[in-house]
Amino acid sequence: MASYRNHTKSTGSCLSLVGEDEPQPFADFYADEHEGQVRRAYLLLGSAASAHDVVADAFIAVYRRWDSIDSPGPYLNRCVLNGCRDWAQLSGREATTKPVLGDSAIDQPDGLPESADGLAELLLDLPFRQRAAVVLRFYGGHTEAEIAQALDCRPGTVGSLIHRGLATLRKELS
Amino acid sequence: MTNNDFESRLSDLLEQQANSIEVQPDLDSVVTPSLRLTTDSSVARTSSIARSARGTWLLAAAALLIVAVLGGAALLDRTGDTTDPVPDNELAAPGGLSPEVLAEMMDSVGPTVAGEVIIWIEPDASAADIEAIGDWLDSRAVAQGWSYVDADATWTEFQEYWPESPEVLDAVTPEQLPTSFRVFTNDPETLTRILGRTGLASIRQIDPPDEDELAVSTVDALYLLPSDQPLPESVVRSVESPADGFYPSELIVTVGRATDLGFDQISRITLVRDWGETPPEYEPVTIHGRVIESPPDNPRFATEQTDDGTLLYESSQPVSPELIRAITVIDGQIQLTGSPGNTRELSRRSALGGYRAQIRLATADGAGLLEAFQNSVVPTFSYGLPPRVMEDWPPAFILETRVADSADELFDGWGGVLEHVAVGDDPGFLARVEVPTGDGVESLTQLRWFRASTDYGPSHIVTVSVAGLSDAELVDYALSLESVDALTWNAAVAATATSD
Repeated sequence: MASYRNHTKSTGSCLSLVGEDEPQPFADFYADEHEGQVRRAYLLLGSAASAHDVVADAFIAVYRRWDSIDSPGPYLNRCVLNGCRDWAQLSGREATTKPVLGDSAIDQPDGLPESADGLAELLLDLPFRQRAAVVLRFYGGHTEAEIAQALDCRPGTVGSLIHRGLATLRKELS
Repeated sequence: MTNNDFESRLSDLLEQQANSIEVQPDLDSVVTPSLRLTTDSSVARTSSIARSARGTWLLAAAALLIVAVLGGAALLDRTGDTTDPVPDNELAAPGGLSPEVLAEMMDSVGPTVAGEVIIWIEPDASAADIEAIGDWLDSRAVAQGWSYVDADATWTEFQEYWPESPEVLDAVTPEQLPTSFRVFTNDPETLTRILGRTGLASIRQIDPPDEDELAVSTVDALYLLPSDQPLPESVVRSVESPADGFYPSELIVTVGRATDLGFDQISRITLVRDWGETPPEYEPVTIHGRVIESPPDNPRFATEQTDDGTLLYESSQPVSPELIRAITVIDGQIQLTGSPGNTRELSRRSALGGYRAQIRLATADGAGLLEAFQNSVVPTFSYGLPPRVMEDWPPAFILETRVADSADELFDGWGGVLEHVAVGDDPGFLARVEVPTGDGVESLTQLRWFRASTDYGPSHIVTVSVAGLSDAELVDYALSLESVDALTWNAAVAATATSD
């Protein structure tokens, strides 16, 4: 990840970062991270609008602490995940009943639904941490250590979360 | 099908699903929060109220917001940088309340002298904090002079404001009153703007993020203002909006006697959104008082009373004008109801800073206020201390415990009746509760510790399903437990328990 922090000290103010002649580190950081974070949040929430909101909140949190954060990437990851979890709790998504799969979502040779929509429904039925671990691993391609940092747990826990998440997906599809 | 094939296919589907949406970057909304919220007569009303002598106290707690910010500025400047953290030419933020109105509000806080600004000190401020604020004022040209009013002087002054209200004086002790700085300035506007741009939160959040801090990444506050049917001045003692609280939104109304306050007298609530770096932005919210959007059997609010006579109302829903309108009065009875139908819509507003609403009614007659609400149709309530967060829990008794450092400590307080039966990688774990039948309690089961599954801080909340107990028996037992600080009874469960 590119280093963004070194450019910020001379400004003295977050609000002066944008619109001046000097490098725009936060803007660069935003450009690099925003799209991926939104798409990942979308997988976790199942709502594009909420994904945009959660990620926007996370960037605001990062922006407000820009001068004091050494590693904005991991910080952003945690903000987004926490925001997604808040949203999931508030929306009661985790308390919903099992999804009703359409015909396209079952009877596939590989055991996975044919459509991505069907998979999304199954994902949203997973407990949030399992869902987050699966998405980070199989969409973001993160290592277990990185996922552990994002989820604030031990690396060994990540393996367990992924294992149980995949097992649940398989079971639901069987 | 092999695991690798399954995982490969899973990755493909996730990629496909993730790419199915259009992503719209909006950097401006991040770096320049520009809610363009309108202001209207509600703010002017605040000023007019504050011009009276008692109005000074009406806004006293509102000034706590300012002192929190100022305290942050003072701490910042102690590092040696005595220049304004944000130059004046950068202070004009888009939207929000005009500096002129802010200055008027600040001026109105001063009791008698034009250009005097009162900076109220938070009760838990240390001597070092107070000294730091003094140092900060010394370093500022905008502060032409200042004095510190200590506790004794504050009490004397308070008594002078309430010479004919012995009930108020009886209800307040000198320790409850905040001390203050009285600052003379010819430029309250600049002072206000500096305070508005320098947030205490920015200091607290230097440390790596934790869940508590992230939960309050945006600080909202609610001001309660009198309606067209104004509250008697002898009733309203203060309106305050703590900016640095655990809860994003908070409304505190202090009244002399609870029975004198009716929700039909509340016509305006102003939502104040404080981004820290910009002047607070104000959004008037009208309370119509007749909107019921969900059935009473779907409670979305919980309440609790603290030991200082504060009655808390908290919603598990994101705050919104629609939600606040759900607080209503029908036939003289207070009704609290949520708006579950618009949850998704409200959630989308999270980027604007609103997450949850909490309304705190602080009264000198806490028992009377609690009784008034309990006799209404409020579906849930709790009592105990200290303040805690209630959620839209599954049907059960909710025993909210004091803060514990560990599960052992928590369970020790239960006298060994809790048996920890499962700990896994899950954030919470299940435990079994066995209660001696000699206490009139047969069993408590399905206890769950939600500690890591919530963002509500270190409070440990256990949910206990009840078998074969009367309400009174369980309440009595629960409250006898040393570690239980609050208890919430979900009315929806009461029906279930009774039918069983």
